[in-house]
Amino acid sequence: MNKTSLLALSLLFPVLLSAVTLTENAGNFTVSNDNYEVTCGKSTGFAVKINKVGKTAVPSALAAPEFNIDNDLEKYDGRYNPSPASTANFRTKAVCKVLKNTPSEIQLEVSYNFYGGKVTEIITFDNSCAVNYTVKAANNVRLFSHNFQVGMVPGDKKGIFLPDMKRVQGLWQSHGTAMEGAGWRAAWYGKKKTGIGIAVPEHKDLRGIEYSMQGGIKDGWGTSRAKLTAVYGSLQKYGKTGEHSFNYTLLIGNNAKKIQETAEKIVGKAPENEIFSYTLKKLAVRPGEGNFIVTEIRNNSNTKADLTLKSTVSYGLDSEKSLGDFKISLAPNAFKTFEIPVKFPADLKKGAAVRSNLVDSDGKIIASAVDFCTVTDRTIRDTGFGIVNAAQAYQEGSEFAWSRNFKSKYVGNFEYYCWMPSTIFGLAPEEDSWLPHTEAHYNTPITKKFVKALNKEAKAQGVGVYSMVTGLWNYQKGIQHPAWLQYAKSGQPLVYNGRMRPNGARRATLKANMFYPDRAAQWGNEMADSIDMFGWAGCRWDWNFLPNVMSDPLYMGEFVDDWYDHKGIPQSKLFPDPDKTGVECLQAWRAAVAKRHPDFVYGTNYGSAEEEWKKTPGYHKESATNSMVLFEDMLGYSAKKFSTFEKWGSELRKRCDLVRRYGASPVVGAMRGLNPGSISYDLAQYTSASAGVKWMIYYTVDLLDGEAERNRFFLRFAEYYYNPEFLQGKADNIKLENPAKVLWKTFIRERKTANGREIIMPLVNQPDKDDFICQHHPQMSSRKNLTFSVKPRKGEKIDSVWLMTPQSPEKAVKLHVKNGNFIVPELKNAAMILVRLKGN
Amino acid sequence: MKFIFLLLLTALSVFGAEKVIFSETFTKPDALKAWRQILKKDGAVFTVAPDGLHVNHKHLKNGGGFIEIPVPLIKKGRLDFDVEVVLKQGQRPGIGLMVELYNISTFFHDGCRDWRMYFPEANVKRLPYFNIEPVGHHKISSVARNKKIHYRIRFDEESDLVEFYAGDMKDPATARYDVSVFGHAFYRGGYLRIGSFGYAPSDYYSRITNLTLTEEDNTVNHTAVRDQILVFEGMGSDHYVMKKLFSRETKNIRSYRWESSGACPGNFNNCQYFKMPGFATLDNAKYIIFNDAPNVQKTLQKKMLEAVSNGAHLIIMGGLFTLGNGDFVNTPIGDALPVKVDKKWNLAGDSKTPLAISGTKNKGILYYYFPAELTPGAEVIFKAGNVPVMVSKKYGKGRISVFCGTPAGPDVKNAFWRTGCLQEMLDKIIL
Repeated sequence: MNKTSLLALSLLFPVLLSAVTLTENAGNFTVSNDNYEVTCGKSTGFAVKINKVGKTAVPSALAAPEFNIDNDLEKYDGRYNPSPASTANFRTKAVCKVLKNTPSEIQLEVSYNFYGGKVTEIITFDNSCAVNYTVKAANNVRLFSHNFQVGMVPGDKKGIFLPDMKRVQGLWQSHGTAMEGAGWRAAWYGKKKTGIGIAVPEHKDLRGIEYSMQGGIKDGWGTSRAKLTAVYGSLQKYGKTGEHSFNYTLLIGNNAKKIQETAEKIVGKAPENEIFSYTLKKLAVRPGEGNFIVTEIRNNSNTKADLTLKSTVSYGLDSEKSLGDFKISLAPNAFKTFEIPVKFPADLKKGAAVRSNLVDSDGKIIASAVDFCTVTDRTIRDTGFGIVNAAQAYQEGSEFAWSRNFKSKYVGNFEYYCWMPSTIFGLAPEEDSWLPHTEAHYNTPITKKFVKALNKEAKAQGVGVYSMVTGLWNYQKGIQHPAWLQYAKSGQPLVYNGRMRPNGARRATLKANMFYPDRAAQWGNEMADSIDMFGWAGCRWDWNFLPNVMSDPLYMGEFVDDWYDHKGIPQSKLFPDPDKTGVECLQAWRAAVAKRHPDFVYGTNYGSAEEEWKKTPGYHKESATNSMVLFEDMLGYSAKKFSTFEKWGSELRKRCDLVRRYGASPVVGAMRGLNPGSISYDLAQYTSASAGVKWMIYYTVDLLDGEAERNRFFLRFAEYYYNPEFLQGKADNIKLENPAKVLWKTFIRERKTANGREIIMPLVNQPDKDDFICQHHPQMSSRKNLTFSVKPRKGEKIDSVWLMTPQSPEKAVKLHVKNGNFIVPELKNAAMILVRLKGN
Repeated sequence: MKFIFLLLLTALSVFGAEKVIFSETFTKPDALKAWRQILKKDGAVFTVAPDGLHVNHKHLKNGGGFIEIPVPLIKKGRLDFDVEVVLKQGQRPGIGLMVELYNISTFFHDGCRDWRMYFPEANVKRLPYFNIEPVGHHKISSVARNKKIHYRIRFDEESDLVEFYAGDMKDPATARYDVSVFGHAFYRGGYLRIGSFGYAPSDYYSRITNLTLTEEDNTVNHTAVRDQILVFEGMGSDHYVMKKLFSRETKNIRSYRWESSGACPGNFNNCQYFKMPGFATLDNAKYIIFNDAPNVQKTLQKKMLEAVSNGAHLIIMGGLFTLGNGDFVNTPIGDALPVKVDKKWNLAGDSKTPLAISGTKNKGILYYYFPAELTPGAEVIFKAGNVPVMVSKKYGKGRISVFCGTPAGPDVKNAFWRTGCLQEMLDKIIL
């Protein structure tokens, strides 16, 4: 057959020549068309394994729905909520059926049971690059995602994402980036013309698409692999019953344009002109510093676009000022990234929301975007705190991504945990590369270059990095100074922990005897050297200078048996006044650092219960003075005494008041017992912020965790949530007239102003049934029309009442006050009320 | 061929050193017929399946139920069995299977992924924070889930010895040298019990099969070949790399690492040896080396000294964790050393005054050392300045040597552990 007759035939019978075919094999089905060849396993659920895109063989590409069942306790029983369990269909025994097999459409059905309920998937193939999924799951499915792991072309250094047209800097899997809401993303490897992606239409539970590319750490690093995950949830709000249905489409093809067209059929065409990305360059800027709007504007039309970006800043309660207009001219189908400098008003302090409207030549607003930042001389007070450890963060090229991820969650400070070769005589390492000493014994080589770049990249984004500091020698450094070690009753140096690597290398940490001001000052100088070397914004101690308490701050309140010095003298004889010793040493350490780096923030970790203050009041005061304090022991919310949001919140508030007197910014959170996406996770964070205590954030990009929504709100209104000026206060003369299951009395505080006082009333909605933290809670009801009455003191009158909510975080809303009464129209999860009083 | 094998097996069982007392695979439908079943309502269910006995764990705190069978009291022997902890996705394990013989009780803490033992003790000895597990329990080894693992409990009633093996049958995962093997069984008769602890947050099961109780011969093997190097790797093991130092001697090196079991914020060391040499291994020992390592239990010390008097060489390498600081004071080994070990904190030297080791071609210095007071029969092999650092003496057919230097102080280029000096000193005493 010659070419002409083939062409004629294809015009007459287009379907026959571009049909989709199904081949049944012993253990699977093979489906192929012009765009792809995929295999679906039979005996276990279908995981679509992509063999070929066009004619290009794909080394490994797997797409499979995955269900996460959160194991949150149905009823509080004194334990933490266990971690979620997950299952993917290809690990499950399933019943597979062919529902339809025609040249234009093939439909497969797979159904299976697993401990979360029954699942039915219908997968539809046609002759396009779309593979449509309809997934129905019943009963106890609380979280759902479709994971799409794509191992594309090894060594391809040119892989990008569509429609971003960029690589994603970051680490493989959860450390990449995400788009929120409906849309599409595809990994595209131009060299071999292979594209694999996912298009997700609107859905009430859709959170968005998380995506990352292994080769994205830096060009030329590693093998190119991409992962795309459509994330739905949290479905937890439905409780144990109900059926969930999800529709989405996998995109597999060798033509980028066709992939885009197919995706746009599902999720809608991109607007003619759009703000594709929008962010402020720095999360925190110093007063008078200014910031930059970094935005990518796209012209998706075939005509030239003349546009204006009109920007405003909201700050204070409801102040709004223009940041000026920026003219943009884009050629047809062009897109461009702009870095626009903005100068903030002189009276802008703390949280701000910068909104930009994209306006066409007729003056019509065609797109809008917002981001948040803070103007502060004290980032630790006004923004959140996070943590990343040396087991994750160590690869050169990924430095930028860590602070990007924190910044995207509006977290302006993060601790780099256990990075150093030795905390003593290792904070400013001589070597260029080392294994972190840590109690966890990470087997990840850290380089000096990485730590320097981590700090530098963070600073450029208005984020500060905190070094962890702890009173442990690594074994090799410690034995060089036997007189600076603590010894057990047996005469052995005290080992905090120690294991050997399979190759026989000894990894251990020894407890240090640093309880002399001259040693402390020497150590402080070493910290100052470390700041010179790396540029740390602060530190977070996981130890203390009290000689008579355990070396883990978690047990700081528990006094212990004697340890001994190298001559066998017990610490109780060496340091008869532990509080005095602690104060002298901590002052010496802090003074040595401050002498060279006055802005450096001292952070520490200690239980700040009232009874502990009484035992060592001097040391507690010194530790709290203008510092960051982590209340790690307050993670014990599974214990009976802190088991409810109210009990836990009350204690947090008490402790916060204790340290706030001295200017400290307290932190709690992360680590254990609550699962992102759950109601408890959400409410625990609102509870801690309402108590004035920040929740320590993880570095991951996780669409389920809701961190960004909460933290941008706290950042914007840090003046009220995190301001140490707000101290004691009571619910005297304030009443909730229509009682509802809401925490409102617990966190009332006040401060004096020039002409009166201000009362803050953080509100936290509560689960409809029970109020335990470690327990599964379905979505609670919104509380409507909460009516409060405030009776001013003699000589006072109400000036104004303001409402701030996470749902509208840009500005506070002034509430109408009548006879001392005001109404909060709706409380979803949390809110802040400010009552301004004049007089007295 | 099959016939020859059977003949050999018969010959071994009749004339050999061992005798199978009891065995059960739990694969035949009537396998539980001979067992007494003490089951509780809503408690564990014991089901015989083609792959062994399934012990289905339920949540009935401390009341899961058990099965038992009388077995004769034998003084020296071993109990072998295979166990798989079967967990499906989403199942939350707790404390499941219990296996008990005489006074030896073990259980599988599936939540913590380990196998534990206890010898019944009074409630007053309960460990703080452990309100569910039996009093006085100790971890034996880690256990992988969904994997069949072979276990062995080897006991010697006359030596008060119980060795626990998990997976690796060469050396015990741990051993107790001070326990009563029979306990009350001495009066009541012996039982073999399989139970369920009854602490299962969600239902799951353990599979047990190939249960064999074997009596072992009591006679000591005096003709054992001494070719093993047993190295107790303490903190200074980085400085004393025995694989390198003994590379010319032999490759039969077995190491017993002294490691911490998790972080220890209190003022004591919670390090321990995660493996121990079995008695049979000690019979084969050529060198027993403590690398800056603390002492072991008394029964094991006595067995070590027995091995030394039969020809082994015991070498103690100095460090901050051994000798006076390593529980050698007033112990069988401590009393047998060529140097007097009578106190703690007797480290001498400082970081500024190095002492040069004399008598070696490769120069080496040390900063810290244990001042040696020689015991009768001791000879000084090497000195640093006037300080004896390598001291040795004969002990029966064998030898005991102590290196009194310690790898502490500045990590300089000519420190003894960095030069060929250490190798030379060892070469001299081991040849």
